[in-house]
This record gives sequence, C-alpha cells and structure tokens, in this order.
Amino acid sequence: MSEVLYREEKPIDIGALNLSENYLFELSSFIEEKGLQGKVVRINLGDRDFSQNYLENMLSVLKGYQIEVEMVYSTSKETKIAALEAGLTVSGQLPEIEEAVAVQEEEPSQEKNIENINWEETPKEEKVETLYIKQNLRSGQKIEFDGNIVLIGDCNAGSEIIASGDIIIWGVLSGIAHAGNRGNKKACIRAFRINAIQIRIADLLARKPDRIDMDRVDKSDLFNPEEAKISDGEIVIYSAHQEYY
Amino acid sequence: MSGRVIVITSGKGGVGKTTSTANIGTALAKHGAKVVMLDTDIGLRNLDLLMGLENRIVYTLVDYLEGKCKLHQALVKDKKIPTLALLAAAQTCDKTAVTAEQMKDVCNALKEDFDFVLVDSPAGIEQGFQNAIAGANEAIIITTPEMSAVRDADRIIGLLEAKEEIINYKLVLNRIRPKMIQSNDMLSVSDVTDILSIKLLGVIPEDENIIVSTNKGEPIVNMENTKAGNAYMNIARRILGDDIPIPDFETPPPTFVDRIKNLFLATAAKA
Repeated sequence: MSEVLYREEKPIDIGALNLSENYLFELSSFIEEKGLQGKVVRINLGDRDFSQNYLENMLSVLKGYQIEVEMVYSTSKETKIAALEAGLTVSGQLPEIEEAVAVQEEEPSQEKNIENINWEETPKEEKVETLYIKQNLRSGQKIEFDGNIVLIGDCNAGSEIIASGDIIIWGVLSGIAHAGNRGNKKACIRAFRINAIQIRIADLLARKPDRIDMDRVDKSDLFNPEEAKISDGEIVIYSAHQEYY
Repeated sequence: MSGRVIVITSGKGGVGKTTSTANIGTALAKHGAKVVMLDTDIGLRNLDLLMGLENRIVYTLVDYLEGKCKLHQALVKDKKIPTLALLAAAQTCDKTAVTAEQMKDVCNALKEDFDFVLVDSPAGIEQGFQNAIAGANEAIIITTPEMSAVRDADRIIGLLEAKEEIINYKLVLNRIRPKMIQSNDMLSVSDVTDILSIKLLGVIPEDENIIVSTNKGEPIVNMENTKAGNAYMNIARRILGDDIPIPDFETPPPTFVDRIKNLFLATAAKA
C-alpha cells in the first residue's frame, strides 16, 4: 500500500510509494483515508525508477486534493531527473524513518510550560535544512527549496536555483540564482565562478552587465578544487574538474 | 544481435540534423553496415530530398502504421548503396498522426534487420521530438557554435538525461569556421563542450559544398575529398569503434615563416 511522508510540525516518514496499475485510484483512496487534503507533503520515492509521465499524473491527482508537494526523496538517478523535469524539488538523501504515532503526541505540547525553557540554551541560529544535489542543472530545469542548497555541478544558463537560505554551487553559476527568497537578507550565493544571468538575494536583484563580447567561462582559469574518495581500498585525491557528476 | 537505434536531435532548427543523418547513414553504409534512416519530421519531411530519393517513395511511415503496407514495402533502397534504406515520413499529415508507442514499435521492428537505425528528429521539444526519442538507445546531439543553438542543445540534453532508455549521448559540433575561432569571433570547441559537459563525437567545418550536395540530392560523403565529407566519414568510423582523434581547429596552421623558423630550430638542435 502506498505511504506518504507528511509534515505538520515535524516531518513524518511512513515509507515509499508502492502503487500498482490502478495507482491513480489507489492514491485517491489513500489520500481520503489518511485525511491529507490541503496538506503539505514530502514523498519518499525510495530507490525505484519513476518516469516524468508517472510523476506528473501523480501530481495532478494530488493537486486535485489541494495537496502541495514540498519535495520528493529518491536515490534513483532517473527518478531525480524526471522529478526535476516535472518541476519538483528533489533530495538524494532518504529521510530517517520515525514513528507515525508521534504526530498525535506532538499536538498537546502546544501548551508548553514556559518556566521550563532555558532561554540560554536556545541556539542562536535555527537549524536549517540543506538540500544536497549532485548533477549539472541544465537549461529549463529548476530547483526550489526551503533551506540551503548545495549543488555539485554547474548551473547552466536557462536554469534556476531558488533557496530560502544560502546557495553553494560546486561549479559555474550561469543561470539564475535566488537566495533568501523568503526575505533573509543575510543569505549568500557561492560558486567557483558567478557568471549568472541574474542574481537575486531576498528582494534585491542584480543583472549581468550587457554583453560586449562572447559569453564564455574558461574553466581551466578557475582555482583547482580537489576531491578525496576511496579508490581500490585507498583514499585518493582527484582534481575536481574531472567529469564524475 | 539487435541493431543500434540512434536518434539525431538538436532542439534548435536548421543546425544540420537531417544533413547529418543522411551523411552519417551513407558513411556507415559505405563501411559495410546495414543502415536504415527514419525521417520522423512528419509534415515537413526533408531526408528524402537530401538523399535524392523523393521520386521513389511509394509508402511512408504513416502508411505502415495505418496498416496499408508491410514494413519492407515502405523502405526505399538507396540509389547506389544496397545496404542503405530510407523510411520516409508522410508529408500530408502532421506530428499528431504518430504516437510515441508506435514509434517505439517501429524502431524495435527495424533493429532486428539493420545494424543501425538512424532516427532523424524534428526541431523542438514537443510531440515530434518525444516521438523521435521513444525508441532510441543512443543520441547524437547536433549544435552549431552559436549561443542560441548551444542553449537549446543544453535543454535537449536535460530532457534526454531524464529518459532512462538512452544510455549514450554525444555531441557533434557543426558548421565551425576555424578562422573565426582563431580570431575569437566564434565559440571554440572547448567553449561549447565546457557549457554542455558531454563527450564530443566530431566536429564539422563549414563547407559550401553542403549547399551543392543538398540541391543535387547527393550526400556530401559521395563527393570527392570535401572538408565536411571527410569529417562525416570520420564520425562514422568513430561510431563503428575506431579511435580517430578530433583535429584541433583552435591553433592556426603554421605560416611559411613559422615553418622556416621550425626548420632552423630543428637544424640547430641537431648540431
């Protein structure tokens, strides 16, 4: 039976979608059973391969129930790319599984005992989630996430990367990047080379100077980042310019 | 052993998909392979014109899909090379006449009898393109060294990456002008591969003989010793597995003075 991760106060993961031929009907009955109408959900797609068509059909069913998909998790490369094409935000790390029961226990805690909170211990910066993606973002693709985004790859012209926190691109930024899209003016964007068409932070916008010459980035010109990996049982340091992503 | 189904696509129109399909197909057949070229640009077919076979078409792809003929009846043999065939598109329908499923079935049927099925894709990213990639396992992306073509090629590569059946895609850079690259007026080969991050299959220089060959209905690889023709022959050999290095168009060839200097240096070194 299909299972969906959804968030009220805290994200709860119930597992991966496992739908059959009648999946659209099963999805509808599942949604009604669990009372997910109008909620914001995250979906754990596990390691299964899904096509863009399948995901778009699923999204239109969810849309009919006013369900917003905040993001999907998948460890399958094909699914991740298909999800990006379908306009979804994707994470490659599957979430930790917690008990579904916990949701009911959370609600009564709204009446917290204020005397018990030690204000000194409250951390200064709120713990913000980070989306970690390893691929080149190609023209026409878009990533949107409520948190930080780390992209291992280039962000090509014609693509968009939007975060409420910081954006770190382990590659060349040629597309549009928007950090702090919920108003955080302290957000920043980092990349090997910022060659972006437009940079947006919070509500400010900056554009690339008008072209007087051809638009090119000489990749050999950038400093030489390195990556350490295990290879043949040993740790080896590689130049990060090699195409491995 | 099933054949290889390769789709030749670009996103942008007019960059050389049909010309490349005709020439790579002819070149592969000249090396002995059994090749069928499939024109999926329904309503705007051109592959038959480039091959000079438009007067020999009796049945088209759409006729076969409607059951009006058998598959082998719709295949048109090349005038000169017996192992080369063409499956033409219909001119009197449009792209809604075929579905992706039907195209997949056609490719699967063709690959049983041929070593290579070259699918000539139309421009764009809509139904025509989706049909063309439906049955393919490999892709050749054609682009010219112009910002607009490269941008569209990037979009296409993104769409191809989402299709799990396509396991191998390579780039052909068409219509380059080495002099303009050297004087920094045109994107170089490395500029384009830096942006697109895919492997390069070949580079084809701008050649006026292409216009002549198109108008005559004779693929340029059939003409003697042309720049573009040689480049297409090399691409065919690379597809067949030969490791032919791609010539460097970026550094200018040595001038007369350079050559004299080199001669002196070589003589001095020996002394």
